[in-house]
Amino acid sequence: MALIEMIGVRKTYRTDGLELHAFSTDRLEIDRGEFVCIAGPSGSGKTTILNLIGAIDFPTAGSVTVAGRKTRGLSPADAAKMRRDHIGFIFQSYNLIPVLTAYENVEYVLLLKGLPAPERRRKVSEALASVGLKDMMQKLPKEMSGGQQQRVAVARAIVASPPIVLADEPTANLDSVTGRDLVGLLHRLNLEQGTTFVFSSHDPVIIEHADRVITLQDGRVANDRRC
Amino acid sequence: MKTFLLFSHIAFRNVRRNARRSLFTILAIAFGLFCLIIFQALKVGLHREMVISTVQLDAGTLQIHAAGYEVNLAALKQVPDPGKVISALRMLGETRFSRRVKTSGLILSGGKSASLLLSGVDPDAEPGVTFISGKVVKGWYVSRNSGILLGEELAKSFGVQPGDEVTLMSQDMAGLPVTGRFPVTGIYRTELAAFDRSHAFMSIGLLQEFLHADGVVTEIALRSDSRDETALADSLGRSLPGKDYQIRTWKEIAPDVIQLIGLNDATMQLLILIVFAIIAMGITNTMTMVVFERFRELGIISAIGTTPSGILTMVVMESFCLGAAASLLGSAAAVAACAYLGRYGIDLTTFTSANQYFANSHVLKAHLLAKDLIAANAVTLITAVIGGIYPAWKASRLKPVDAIAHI
Ligand SMILES: Nc1ncnc2c1ncn2[C@@H]1O[C@H](COP(=O)(O)OP(=O)(O)OP(=O)(O)O)[C@@H](O)[C@H]1O
Ligand SMILES: [Mg+2]
Repeated sequence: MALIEMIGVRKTYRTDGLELHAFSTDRLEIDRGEFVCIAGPSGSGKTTILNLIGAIDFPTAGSVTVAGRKTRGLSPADAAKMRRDHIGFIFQSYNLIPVLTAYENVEYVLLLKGLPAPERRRKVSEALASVGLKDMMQKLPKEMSGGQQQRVAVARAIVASPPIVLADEPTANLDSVTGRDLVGLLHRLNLEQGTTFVFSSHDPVIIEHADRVITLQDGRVANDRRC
Repeated sequence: MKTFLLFSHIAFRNVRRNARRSLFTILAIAFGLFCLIIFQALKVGLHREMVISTVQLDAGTLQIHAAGYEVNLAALKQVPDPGKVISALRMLGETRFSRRVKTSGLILSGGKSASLLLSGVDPDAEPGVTFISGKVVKGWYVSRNSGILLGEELAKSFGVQPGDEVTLMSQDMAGLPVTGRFPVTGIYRTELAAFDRSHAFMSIGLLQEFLHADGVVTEIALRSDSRDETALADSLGRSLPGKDYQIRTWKEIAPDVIQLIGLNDATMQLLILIVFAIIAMGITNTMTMVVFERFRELGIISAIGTTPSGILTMVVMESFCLGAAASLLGSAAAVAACAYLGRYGIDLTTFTSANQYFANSHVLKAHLLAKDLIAANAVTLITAVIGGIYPAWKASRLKPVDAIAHI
């Protein structure tokens, strides 16, 4: 069984009586260890598909199964626990809790999971080291650059070693060099730790880094290629 | 527990994050608390003053009379076997009591006359019950077989001084009129002119002699500051069985005081309710603003796995932190103010000079009780939590998908 399975999925939004098909697919699978980019123009459904996988949003029809669990019908609390235990998130910007330091932001997810202090210390240090921010630990988000903040978000996403990390346009607010570095970092983590990464982008330079590119067009998969 | 600490920690930092808004909210709550603590302390001080004024002016804590005694009835109604009452009081461990003879009479001097209440008191025991002995402004307090102690107001309108003589008229034991001349030996002054005009004192022996009532006692007054008067009256009633005696507490003697205290308490409770309702609304308002502003942040917090109950806790804790800071600040200021008002008080002479509840003093002093301080703080904290619940509940129901889309 694939790590992520979408079968007969349809997601429609209803605004003022108008139905809008944001995303639909008959079948889409992503395996453990893949490094996948969701590409496509604005409004093509990239955010929608990531939200469906991340149990942040739920399909109107069909089923999304992540790590063997269906997301549909989960209570808000169960969905939160599922996200906590199986998924790391990196958003486009303002990812971090402003009142917590880099260290505390990364530690947050481990505290949610109730890990003991020594283990937390070790894991947080490792995660921050792997994104190259060991000496930024005591800085607050506002004291860091956009690229540094995104790297803290990466550290937070991987610290609990979830099987999947989702990143919706993680480089959109970064300059091209920093953006490329960030994707390079994600790729390295994918190779080193075997974590499955699914990220979205419409920047060709970024898309190039992916092992598999799923291109969306008007809420449907237009192309799915492995490189 | 770990997550509770985590959420509290974030809540605490969030309070400091928007320091100015938090400060205003805290100041508003602290001010409300400050006012309530002071009002409460002044109210307690006021009630104490009212009780002192009642108990220590004349009533005592308890009074024992013959059964069927009625206030202001001229005919002397003798307490049967006063020795028995006194030994019963001693058995109960009470020492501050005084035997009295009270009757109404007429004072005449230089063509003027006035009716007054004549009290024959035990010069040694009475100062343990009432404060009149401490209010003598000229001459001395009653002493054995000397003259009469008049109130300053009365002495002034009669134009008499210690050393002058006045004529008294009353009825003796048999109901026959008696007249006598007595030297004025002292003048007292309480803070209540109306009392001073109508109350005169002399030694019990002298009055008994004047009324041909050897050994007669019409009233025994007891003062007990520490014991509950009703319980005391009950135990005394048990040790004096039969229908010979009538025992009344000061609360029965002066029901107006108790009613006024009750009225004050009820008004205060209403005030407390209003203040805390305003505090709760202020907190709800602030926290609603906070939740609205942090829409996206809360969405991220939820997306990375915080449960709705976790978010609820985080927001309620923030509200609690505001309440706790206000509690500390308001209490500290109120304790300081109460210490000052407890020492120096507020002079209320212009409002209370003719008021029977201020016979001892017109200075209202704050009296802060530990239980009032604790209760005010507890209610503040509870209000802070209640005020935070609605916004926190709203925050916990945020859908992360909406929040994240909102940049
Ligand atoms: N909450 C919503 N309510 C109504 N329509 C929505 C909602 N969210 C998304 N849509 C619509 O669904 C479609 C897909 O949106 P989505 O955000 O997934 O696109 P996207 O590929 O992420 O675009 P972008 O590159 O601009 O981020 C769009 O037409 C969008 O307008
Ligand atoms: Mg998008």
